[in-house]
Amino acid sequence: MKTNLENYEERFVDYMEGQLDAAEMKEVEAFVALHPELEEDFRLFCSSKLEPDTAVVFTKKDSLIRRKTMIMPLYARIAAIAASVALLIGIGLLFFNHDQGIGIDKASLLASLTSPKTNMIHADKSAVPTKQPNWKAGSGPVKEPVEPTAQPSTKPTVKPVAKPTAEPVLLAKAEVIPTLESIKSSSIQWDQNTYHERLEHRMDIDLEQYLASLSPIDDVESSEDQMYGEDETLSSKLATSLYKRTAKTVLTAYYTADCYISETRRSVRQQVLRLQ
Amino acid sequence: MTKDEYNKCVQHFSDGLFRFVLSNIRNREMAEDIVQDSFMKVWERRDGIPIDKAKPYLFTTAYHTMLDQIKRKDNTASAPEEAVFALPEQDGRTRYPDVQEVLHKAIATLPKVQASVILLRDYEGYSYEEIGDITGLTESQVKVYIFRGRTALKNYLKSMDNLIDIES
Repeated sequence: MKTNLENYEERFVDYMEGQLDAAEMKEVEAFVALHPELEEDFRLFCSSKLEPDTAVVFTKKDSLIRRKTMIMPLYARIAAIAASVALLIGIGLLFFNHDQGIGIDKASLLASLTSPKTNMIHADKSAVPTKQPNWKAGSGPVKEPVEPTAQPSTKPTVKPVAKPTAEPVLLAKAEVIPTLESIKSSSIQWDQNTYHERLEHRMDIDLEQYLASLSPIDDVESSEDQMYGEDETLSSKLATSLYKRTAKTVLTAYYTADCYISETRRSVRQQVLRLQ
Repeated sequence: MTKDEYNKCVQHFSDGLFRFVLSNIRNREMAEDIVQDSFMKVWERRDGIPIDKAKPYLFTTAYHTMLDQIKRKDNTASAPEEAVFALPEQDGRTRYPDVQEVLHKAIATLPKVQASVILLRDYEGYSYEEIGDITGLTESQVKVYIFRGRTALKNYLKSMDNLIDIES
């Protein structure tokens, strides 16, 4: 196509758009040279290319960038909340009992709950003057409990240093694990202190058995990529892990509370007896 | 497209996309919204968008979103227009704008389709065929719109030349 006075604008646009080959470009330039009155149009067409102002930038890139985030399934969130509540209850009980001035070894008690095999509760209990032989004076002679080694009614009031190993020895000999039913059914024949000790011993056993029934908590890698939530299997493992942790925390809090109640009763009872 | 590839798209294409939209509608807030909407759509459909198609997809989405918003707001008659190029005063005297500033004022006077094809051509260097893919026009339609747009810009520049000649 030759450039002429009918199509020169179209040719000028093609020229500046780079749509012409070298020969065609020379032909257009020759046409302009022949028509100087069109030179301004040619120059203006060639100047009509817009250039972006690089100073104008999109300033909200951060709002578009996708960062790695952890997506927790709903049940995992519920488990986490339950664990938090249980923890708060446990802490609250600690402070509540502390405010009540009950003289028990809380650290030992908690340690015994989290590590049931140590029997620390019983060792510590031996350090507390608990026995009051005349507490059930009206009940007559106290019969021997199920286990032959348990002789609460004849146990004198002792100081902590006097019989530091009395309870562990008792437990060591007690091959028959008392059930809650047996403890409750025979409690009227027991000294109340022994009753509570048996009950707590039962709780220790329950806790130990429960903890043993839990499979080891999965050591899940928690790298950000894996916790992004795209791996359903991993999410399930995380949820299971959280559930187990929650169950352990709740059970520990429950037993802590129950044992504190027992200790509180015992302490109050001792105070009453001393006053008498 | 992976998440990392998407983030690279944000880093590499968001400025160009923003300039393209802003030059068309000359409203910063609307332009930011359109860019964010476009990237949101890319993110939602990232599984079906290969990385080499991400940029055309972004511009296609932004172009159609822009046209929709312009229709809805009646060509943004009530929206304040913002100059893509400022014309500051120097020593108390208004300086004469350079060619690019005039061109950016001129592009705002063009019909949106003409302005869009010229901006895609000049800003991003797309071919007529690629511009056709983005805008939904045929290649020959793109060529016609570019010719009309260039002629309008040339005439605008010519009128500014005449104006400056009269003032000087």
